[in-house]
Amino acid sequence: MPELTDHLSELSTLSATAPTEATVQADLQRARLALKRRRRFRASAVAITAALATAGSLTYVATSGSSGPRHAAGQIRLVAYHGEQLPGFTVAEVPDGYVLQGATDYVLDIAKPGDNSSLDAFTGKLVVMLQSRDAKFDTNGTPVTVNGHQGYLRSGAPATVLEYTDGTHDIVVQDWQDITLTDDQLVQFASGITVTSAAHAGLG
Amino acid sequence: MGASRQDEFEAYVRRSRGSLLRSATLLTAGDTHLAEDLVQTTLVRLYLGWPRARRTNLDAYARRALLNALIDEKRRPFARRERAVEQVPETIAETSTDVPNPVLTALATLPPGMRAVVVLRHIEGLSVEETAATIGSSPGNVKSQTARGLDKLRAALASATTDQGELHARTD
Repeated sequence: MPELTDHLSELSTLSATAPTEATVQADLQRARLALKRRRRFRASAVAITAALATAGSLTYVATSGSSGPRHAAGQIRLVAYHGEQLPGFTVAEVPDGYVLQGATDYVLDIAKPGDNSSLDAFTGKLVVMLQSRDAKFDTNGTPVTVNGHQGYLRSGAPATVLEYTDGTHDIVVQDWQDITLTDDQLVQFASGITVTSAAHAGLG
Repeated sequence: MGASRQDEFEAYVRRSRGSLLRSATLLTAGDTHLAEDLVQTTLVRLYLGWPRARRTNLDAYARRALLNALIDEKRRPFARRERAVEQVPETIAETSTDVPNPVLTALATLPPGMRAVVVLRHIEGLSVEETAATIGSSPGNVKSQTARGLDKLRAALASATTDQGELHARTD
């Protein structure tokens, strides 16, 4: 009978499949975005520190009123969502550990379990809504593609916004900085959203 | 400079992503979805630390980053508490349809740190010293973890063989 160590060394012969071109490009994009985010964060931190030092009030440093991100960007995973869908928007994935908090005619809120805040309060949440009826499709930001349609990412504190079209609706996804999805993950999340007939665009 | 970093990183991804994914699959005892997540995290960290990483042994640096990613994953509050899947049911998951390898199944019974030592020593073929450097431990600890890991693996494989024998006996 072969030794256990022989069985183990046989596993070293498992083939290492070469990555596809799409996988390589996705890795490159993820890496570039992570570097961009880090540089932006560091620049912001330096600016905040400098501003506080100049004001002579360097007693504490806080960022945007939050306790800071729980994960480094990209450390949270998207997982398949199998629970009950809510009227307005259905989702294929949610950030790991998050649930559908609730929905109104205008917005779907995805939050941590036990979040009892108003559905109109978006702090710490990932929210989906239709673009306001009196607003134009905003083409500012980094161009991205969601399910083959055009979208634009606008990163910044306290939230990153992805505005895109599905060919029929203009959809806005807002990711609060605490959740720290990468831009790629935000696009991936958006690609799993389906707008139903129950969704209404707000005003203002 | 930026272009250089990108070019070098791209070349590394093309050259080493496959073996990195294979290592991650072994370290996760065959969890291909988690392995892919870990590789993505590792590559991002590698790119962020590229100026330093490129001055060292890139493969060793990546291996350490991969292990750290695995440890971080296991420390997360929600890790493994919910068996959520990464793929929506309508899509075909890129999961191997092969019969589960009994050794991989047995590896899954080891704690992640002990599994890492066994994988690095007996599958990746690293020396005791190289393994110690990779996991940030002492050679003595690597030796004892390896011995205990192999004992546990033998026990797990023996148990699996016994269970299978009993199952065959009942179905005959």
